[in-house]
Amino acid sequence: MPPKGKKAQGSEKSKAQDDERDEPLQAVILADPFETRFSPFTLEHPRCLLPLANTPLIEYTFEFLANAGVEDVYVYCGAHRDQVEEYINESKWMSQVASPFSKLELIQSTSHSIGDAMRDLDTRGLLVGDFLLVYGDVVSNLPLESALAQHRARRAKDKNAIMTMVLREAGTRHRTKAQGTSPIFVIDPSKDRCLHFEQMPNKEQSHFLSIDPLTLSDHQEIEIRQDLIDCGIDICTPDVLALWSDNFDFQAPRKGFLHQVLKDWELNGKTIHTHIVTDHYAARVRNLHAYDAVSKDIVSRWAYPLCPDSNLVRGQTYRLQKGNIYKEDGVILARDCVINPKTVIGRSTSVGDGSIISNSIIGRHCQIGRGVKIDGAYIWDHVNIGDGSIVNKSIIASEASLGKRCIIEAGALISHGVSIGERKTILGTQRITRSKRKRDNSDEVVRGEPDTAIVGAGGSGFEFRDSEEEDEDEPVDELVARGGLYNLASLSFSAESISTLNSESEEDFQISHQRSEAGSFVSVGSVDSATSHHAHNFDHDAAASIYDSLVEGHESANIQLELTSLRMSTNASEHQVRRAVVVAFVKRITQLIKAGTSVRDAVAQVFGQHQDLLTRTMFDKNASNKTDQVDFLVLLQGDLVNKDGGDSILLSAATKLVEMDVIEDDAMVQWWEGPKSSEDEGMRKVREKTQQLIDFLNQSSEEEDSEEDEEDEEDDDSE
Amino acid sequence: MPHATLPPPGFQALILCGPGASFTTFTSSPQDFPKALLPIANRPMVWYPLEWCYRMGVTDITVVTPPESLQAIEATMSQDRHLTSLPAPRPDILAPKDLTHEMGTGELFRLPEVQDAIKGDFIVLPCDIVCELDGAPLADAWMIEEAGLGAASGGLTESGKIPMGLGGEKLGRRGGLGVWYQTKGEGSVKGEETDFIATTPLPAPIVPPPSDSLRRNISNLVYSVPTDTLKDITEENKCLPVRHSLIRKHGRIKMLTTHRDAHVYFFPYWVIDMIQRNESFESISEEVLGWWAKAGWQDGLGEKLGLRQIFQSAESFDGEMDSSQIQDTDIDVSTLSSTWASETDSAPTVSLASRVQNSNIPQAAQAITKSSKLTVPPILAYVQPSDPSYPLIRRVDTAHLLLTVSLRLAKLPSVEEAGKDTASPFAHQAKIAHKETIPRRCRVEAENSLLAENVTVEEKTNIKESVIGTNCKISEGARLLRCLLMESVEVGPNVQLTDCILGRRCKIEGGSSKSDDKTVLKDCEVQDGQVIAWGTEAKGEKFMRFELGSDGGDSDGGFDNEALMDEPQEGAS
Repeated sequence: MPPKGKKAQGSEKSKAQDDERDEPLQAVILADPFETRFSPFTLEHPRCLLPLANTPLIEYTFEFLANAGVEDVYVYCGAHRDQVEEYINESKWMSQVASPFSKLELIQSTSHSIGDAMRDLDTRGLLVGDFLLVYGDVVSNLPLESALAQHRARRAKDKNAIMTMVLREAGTRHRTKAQGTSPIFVIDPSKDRCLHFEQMPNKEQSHFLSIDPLTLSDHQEIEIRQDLIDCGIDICTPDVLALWSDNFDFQAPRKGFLHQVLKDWELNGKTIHTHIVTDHYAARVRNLHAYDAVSKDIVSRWAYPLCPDSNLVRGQTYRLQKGNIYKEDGVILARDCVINPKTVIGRSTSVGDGSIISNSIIGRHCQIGRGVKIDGAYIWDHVNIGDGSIVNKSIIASEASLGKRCIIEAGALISHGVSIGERKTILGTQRITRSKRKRDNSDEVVRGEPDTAIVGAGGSGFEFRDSEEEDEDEPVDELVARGGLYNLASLSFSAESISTLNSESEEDFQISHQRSEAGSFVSVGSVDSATSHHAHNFDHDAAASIYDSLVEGHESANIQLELTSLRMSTNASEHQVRRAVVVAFVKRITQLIKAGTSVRDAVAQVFGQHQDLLTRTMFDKNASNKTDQVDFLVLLQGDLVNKDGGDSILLSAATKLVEMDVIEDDAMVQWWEGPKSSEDEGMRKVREKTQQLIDFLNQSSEEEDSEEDEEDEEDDDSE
Repeated sequence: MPHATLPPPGFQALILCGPGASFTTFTSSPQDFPKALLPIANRPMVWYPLEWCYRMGVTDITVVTPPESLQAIEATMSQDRHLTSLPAPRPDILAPKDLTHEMGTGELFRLPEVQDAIKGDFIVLPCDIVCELDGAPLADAWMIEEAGLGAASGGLTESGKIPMGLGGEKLGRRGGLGVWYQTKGEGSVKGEETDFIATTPLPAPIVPPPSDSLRRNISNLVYSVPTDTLKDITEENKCLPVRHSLIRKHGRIKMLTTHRDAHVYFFPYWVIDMIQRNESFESISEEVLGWWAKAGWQDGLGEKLGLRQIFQSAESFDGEMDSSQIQDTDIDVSTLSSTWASETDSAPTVSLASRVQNSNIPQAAQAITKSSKLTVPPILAYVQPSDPSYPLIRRVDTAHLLLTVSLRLAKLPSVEEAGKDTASPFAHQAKIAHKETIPRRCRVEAENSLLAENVTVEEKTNIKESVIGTNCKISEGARLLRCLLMESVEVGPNVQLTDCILGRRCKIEGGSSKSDDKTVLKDCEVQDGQVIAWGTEAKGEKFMRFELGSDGGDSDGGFDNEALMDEPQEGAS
């Protein structure tokens, strides 16, 4: 890698830089990754402001971007935008003088997944050149010059090299690596090209990684890498956003986007590359396990200069002492308390007599009583800990207070403002919070009733259970999983367990499966449950190939030819062919409509050109029982159920099909009367508008009426 | 063993002389002329592995051949100018009575004669390997990575078997080493057989190996399968399935699709036990290596292959030796070394903060279920980088390879030109044995051709990039381009040959340059003793006899019957 890179730099750099010089380097921070891994802390505060070694997470990300020479930064907020905005406005990054950024903007949207966010970004058109895409939780001291130079050199050579992922090599086992679910990258080291991406364990639970035979025959050397930390730093070209927009199914950046783009390489020709670094620090605080690992790395100075005594935030006054102990000014320590190595203590915190603190990070203004033992804990600001309490590896959020002689077991999470009465024991599996969501899926929180059985008399807080989590029949998992966040040494799977409790994480397959029902391709696949793997491939490939042909405006005959050969090779049924046609056509139509074409024009444009193709998928012109045509219509209807304006499209399409004589009047009536077209609520709803056409057919009225009909329908659209 | 002046590296070498199934044109009668004696650049094939062994100091060499070829090989060994000029002691020739040309290499090692012949760690070589790379650094690398105390050279001694464990087998020492080379690049031959291998890097040593050390290119073999078999697998599954257990154990797996197994193996003594126990191992390269590589990461596979018995039966031998010499505990040599990190218990450490060692789940689970985990010593792979500046390693097992390798060797500067010390081990004394016999009015490109003893070249001939064996005669006006002529070939006047291989004693009849006919052969192979009549124009043909007569010489040849004698057999290579 490096020698090649250097060569590339030498020869290509000057030219590439000429192209790029005028454009400032832009970056997008996804401040909210739309996950609930840090619940319950993220109920009240945005994730990017959670303190990591007493500095908000987003500070590290800004440092990284400033170091990388970024000029324009867009912060993409999800929940708690106001807090993020307030924080950033106050910070040095906004100040005219000190900020290395020439532009720092916040973007608010209603997205609920990264996929939505990317598509939203695409429509905004803010990004003109290559840009960096990072999360609001990246901690890295990596200089990006060489990665950027390599990316540009590749880009100058081949416009299809759309993305470069920056990955950090970490060895087979490493605490900062993702636990439980590990990403596997299949790479061609000679070209630094990523060929395949999969997660382990995978969706099919198959216990093996599948490598395409073509990959083997096309490349002399392939590497399967599981030893990489995916720090979520991607150098993207605007084409990446376009790809996100083209595929409404994509939700997750790796499992969805990366996997599929690599799989479709033969269709779209886009390549994604990797830049693997072996020195410098790079990690993402993607879950609580990573929070623990990265905190330790920072305290142990692996991420230098990102460490407490660099005082990243204005007003910090940390100083390093022997044994990686960091103390701010104004810390009050009792004479006989013991501060062991690898500890960080913020300003105005006082520690009482006989207390022992080791391997812990303690925020500002904390009151720690006498005879307290704290080991490996993360204690945020304004926390009171009563005399004689014992706190093991756990997180205690700001403004929480513990009564006297409490025991906090390893793995417990205590959220903002919770107060625990005297002599209570919080188990390692418990997460205590004071707030709960007002409604499901809303960001508003209200204070819940205290559960005195847990927090004791006079306490406030209750055990946190997220309704979303319970939906996923996780409780079974929880029992095992909640063995404790930190019992890593013996049982590593417990580490991931807390983090996988969340519902929207990238790793949770089941959810994403349900989620993607809205997406056209998967929903089709699920129509008949008996489709074999083989047939599923056909669905996917055929639909994709027809769709591409439609976009590029190929001739009907060519599409037909390609479709036939695909069908022959996979032994797909006529039904599948029809389904693929329907899926592709509908996808194209919806895309045209999104682009501003009227429903009627879109339908006419897509269906009109391909009469031949459509007729050749149905073979019952002369039969009295029009099963094929009915099947086609049912598929069309089914595919439109989940689409915006599906009913209008169905009406237009049905009318057009009758007009083109692809569907006969009899077939239309048979479909309308058949049981399948009114199977369920969705199906009935989507066909409502088509009633007009059926009425028209039944009456067999005159030409003029039908035109009026269509005009009516157009009016409907404009509403 | 103590024959050589230098201390021997402690290996014995076995050279397997196989059938040459893909040389049908030239090896049709293995009793007269087995594959091992085919000339590569005017030296018998078997000379190359023999020379390689002597070069690295191994003198305990056994040539294993089926009895039917024994006589021919023995005769050539004692007569051939090149073979007799090799240093003493002469290699032993072993012809186990049940060995046939069809037998697989796995079965070969189960023959009692071969079992008896192996007394310690051994090197397996095919007779068709041309390996410019010196063996000594390979042996060095093996010793650094794998050798153990006590039984570094051992297996059988006068007092009995050296017990297992002394060398650290139970701790994962004393594995094997194989060699792979790139088939693509310079001198590549289309359609050459390849092997698909997957390797993982060895844990980085604390002291990096010197820059010229082979250890930089040595990795741990985790999967090996011939490309043909790989195709079957991918066709059956529509993909290549890679088990998660492999990926979990090894974070970085490199897969190579165009390399080939050189069939040069350094094996510790216990491997012979493994082959003996597993009757289903048909060949070394496919089964023995394939299963061994997999046993390194597939839990339980080692047991299936009987490795536990092999390593642990060792304890029962303790009584036979002086117990005072034997320590009950295993010696982990790595702990005695200041430069070698043991990987048996702790994970390889990384520079980026790794104080928390998370053992992964299957391993943790296994630790509970089984008290003693079987550690399978690794099979290492030396994978030669594709850079053309690296020394030549190639197996010569098709006619096409025979030609290209011969021509490549013909380009080596001779000892006369390059000097004794810098010349390649495969350089000849002179490119043209007797320069003075070459007439003035002809063109012989000495820099890329080889002419052996007693070759007659007449006037007006044109010889380019060709290798010509002893006693050949090239008549007036003949033109040879990229041709390989074995011994006693007669090329008549005005014959034009391009990319041809001519067998021993064959004759290409010539004619007048003014005649209407002409003889032009391209890409042709001519079997021993064939006579090609004047006026033959052919391309890509094989001229062979119909019947397998042993009389050679005077059959009325000139017919071509390609692929008539393709024997579909897989045998000792």
